[in-house]
Amino acid sequence: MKETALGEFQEIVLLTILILEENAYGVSIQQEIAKRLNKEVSRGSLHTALARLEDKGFIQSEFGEASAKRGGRRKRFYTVTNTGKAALKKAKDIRDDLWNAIPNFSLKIV
Amino acid sequence: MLDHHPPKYFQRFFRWFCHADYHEELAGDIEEIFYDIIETEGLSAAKKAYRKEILKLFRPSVIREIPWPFSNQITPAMLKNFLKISLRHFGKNLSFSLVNLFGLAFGLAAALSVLFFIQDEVTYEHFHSKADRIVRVNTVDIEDADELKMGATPNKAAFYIKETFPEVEEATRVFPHNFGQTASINYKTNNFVEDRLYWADSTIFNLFDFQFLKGDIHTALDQTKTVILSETTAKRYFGNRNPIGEMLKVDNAIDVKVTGVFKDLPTNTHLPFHVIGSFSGHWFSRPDNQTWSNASFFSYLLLKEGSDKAAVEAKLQAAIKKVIPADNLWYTFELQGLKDIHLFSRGIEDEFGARDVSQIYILSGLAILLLLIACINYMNLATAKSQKRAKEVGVNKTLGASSGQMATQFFIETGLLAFGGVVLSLVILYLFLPYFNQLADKNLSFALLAQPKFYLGLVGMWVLITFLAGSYPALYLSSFSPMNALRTDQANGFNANSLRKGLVVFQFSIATVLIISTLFFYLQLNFIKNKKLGFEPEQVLAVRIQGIRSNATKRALEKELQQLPAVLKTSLTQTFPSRTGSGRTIYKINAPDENGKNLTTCRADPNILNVLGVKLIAGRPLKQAEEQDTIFQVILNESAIKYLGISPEESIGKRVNANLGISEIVGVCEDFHAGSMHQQIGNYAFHNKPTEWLSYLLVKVNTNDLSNTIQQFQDIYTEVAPTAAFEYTFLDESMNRLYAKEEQLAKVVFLFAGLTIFIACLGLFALAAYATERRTKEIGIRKVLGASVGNIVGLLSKEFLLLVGISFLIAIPIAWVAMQRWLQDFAYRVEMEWWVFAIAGILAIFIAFITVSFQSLKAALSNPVEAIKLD
Repeated sequence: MKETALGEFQEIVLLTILILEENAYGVSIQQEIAKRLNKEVSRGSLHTALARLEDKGFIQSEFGEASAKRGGRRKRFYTVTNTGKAALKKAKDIRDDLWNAIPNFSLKIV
Repeated sequence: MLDHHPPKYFQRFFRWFCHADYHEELAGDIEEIFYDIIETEGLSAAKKAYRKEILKLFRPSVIREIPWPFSNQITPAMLKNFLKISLRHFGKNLSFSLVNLFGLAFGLAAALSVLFFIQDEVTYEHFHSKADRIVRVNTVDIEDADELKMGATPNKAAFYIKETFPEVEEATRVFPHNFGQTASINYKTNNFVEDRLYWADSTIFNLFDFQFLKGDIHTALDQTKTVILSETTAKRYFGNRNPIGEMLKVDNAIDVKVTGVFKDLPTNTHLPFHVIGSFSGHWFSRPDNQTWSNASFFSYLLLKEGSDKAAVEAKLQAAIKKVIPADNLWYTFELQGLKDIHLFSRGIEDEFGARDVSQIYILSGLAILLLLIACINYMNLATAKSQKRAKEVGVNKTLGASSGQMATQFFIETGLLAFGGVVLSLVILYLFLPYFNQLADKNLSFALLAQPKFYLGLVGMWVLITFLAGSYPALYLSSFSPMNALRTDQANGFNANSLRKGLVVFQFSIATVLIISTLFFYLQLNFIKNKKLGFEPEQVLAVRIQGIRSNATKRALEKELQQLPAVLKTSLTQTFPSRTGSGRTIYKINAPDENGKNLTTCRADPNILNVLGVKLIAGRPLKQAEEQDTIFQVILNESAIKYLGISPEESIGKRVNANLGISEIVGVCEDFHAGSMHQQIGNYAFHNKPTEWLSYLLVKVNTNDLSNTIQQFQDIYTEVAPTAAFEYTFLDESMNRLYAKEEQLAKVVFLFAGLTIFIACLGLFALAAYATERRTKEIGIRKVLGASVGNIVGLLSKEFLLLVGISFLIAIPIAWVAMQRWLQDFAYRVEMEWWVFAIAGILAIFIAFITVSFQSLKAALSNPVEAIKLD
């Protein structure tokens, strides 16, 4: 059974890749998430998320340029596929629906 | 930017476990992060982050498919089965397993604590970033037969060397306050005792690493009469107030201004600075004190990158012959690396209490032995059980199991048990580390385990133990041929008895050596404490009066104290036994060509012999020296008189040359131990020439209420000298402190001896249990036929006692040689009496007997019917 739902962290990763446009690779994604969410993300947990997303066909990747700082290794850049965008859209729609269904007064923080 | 590299081993580890598809991307990413962090937070933070990232990458989605490490004979399902059988065995032989587990855990815990200790010892001075280039200049007395070495040098040495040799980049002098005395520090109305005050040149910051919290490191000691304080010291003196700019008074003589506060230094350094004063503010910086004599100043040099220590040393030794005045040329210099000072200073006199590296060797040896003994326990018990396991092996093999598969089974069993041992050892370590710290006088933290070398080391130890302890049962048991293994008679093939016996002998030999050593340590230390010292240190207090400047005030204090009913006698003195005195030379009368001999001198008031209880054999006490005196008086001890070659009575009234100007012998006293029992009693003299300060007031008291008396002393002291700190020591305690290191070693060896015996007995206990169990039927029949309980116990214990007896014979020569060497360090020592060995032997046999007889008694007392009806 292939799972196509989005986990919360996976959703964040997808959105971050879109934010970064052309420059979405491991380190930049990690730093962007750290900056925006104000929490440390290990490269390991990011890798797990990226691998799952790629399995589901939500993102694809290709190798870019190498640099000395990386010990001569290439970066792997990620882009969101159409399926991925559709999944994001679907997730957002579901949320929006739910939000819209909430009666106003329920949101008051007491 | 690429000067630094990520931690090599982690990098390699990652390459090993990472899936090939991901390696390029991930390795590149974390390396990029690594270099980013170097720029923002520095190298160590980057390394730490790198390690953390790698450990977090160790997850299923990243790890490559690990190829099955075993041959295709062993499948995961089989491993699962092995695991199950292993656990069942633990359950079935619970007491056996627990004996193993605890033996292993205690051995490991001891080994770990020793590792912690060694780690602390070998990293002395490592926190100074230039430690590899820093050397200390030592002075070597070439006229002394033993080439006496001192860590200190004359005042002029440091900067002469810096200016003369281009290889030397920087130099600094460090002078422990008043030759290593405690200082009395006064701030407004508060007085503090400070035992870590040093005077140093401002260049000290170019050699050693200091982290300034307040003040400016570049200028802190530039001006004369300034001091810097460690964080803790600043807090002690000033509480939470800002100390910068405050004035302190040292020993009521030197006013100094606080110009800086530095972060506390780690404890593993031989220079544990609390307070550093600018050398330029001390009277030793005056031009008339810049001499080539008086080796009291520690000189540290920073060598230029790439220069050779030995070459500099050779050049230095050649150069000083031309510079130093001929009459002072009794010494030469050598250079000692900073990192070597703590462990490799044997034979070098300094103030720093170095530890000799041999102690480290002894400790690591003990730790390894303990671990070995615990492993042997495992092997022993496993082979003892072999007959029971043999059937299992036989059945398995008949059903087609290979030797390799059976070996795997046994390795897994060992591995599981060893893992339990590792975990339990951590618990034990956690519980006992505070006691160990107390014993070893250290501040080791359990958190050390977070260092990779420790947790990886622990994993390594686990693997090592598994193979060491598991190899024998695994290889031996798995080699049984199924035919033999399944036979019910216990005849042929697998008799591991001789090996088992050998191992027991080995264990008990070690235990006996340690018992003998402990006994000798105890005897020797007891001997030292009870040996007649030649004086009476009991109930004598030495009150430090360095903080009082004028002799008149000192004598006023003495007068006041004499009024107290508890005070019997008092005397002012420069020093007292257990502390060093001044080093001079005594020459034979009318023999000017002779080289002379070392003489320790002590300036004192007339009453000194009385207070110390040293007997005067001839002549009279010293008199109080007066201003106009040009001839001074000395009292020599017997040794010195013997050297002069005259009788005590003859010597009275003679002039003697002892570097004391014109001096006359007025008395001769009995020899007494002014130093430790490590050395022979040397030539000693009391004199009344006012060349040295009277730093102590000795008070002989007679009271049952010491604390009250001391309180009275303190009250009077503060009244007479309101700006000096009150500090005292008892003479007998001070004498005992000379052997603190030996006592510490004795305690550690005692602890290890106890542990060794404990672990060895655990093994013996289980072995005896096994042997008894095997002979249950035999015992039953013997009893039916009329054997007494004593017969049976004797029968069952005989074999083990014989083994312990053999190990005793092996232990004797080893212990004899070891103790002979240890005792050689003492000039005064106990004889190597045979009865000590006998006691140790009896003790070992007795302990073994008790251990074994638990089992044999149980067997002997049981009803024979129970035993025989089994079949």
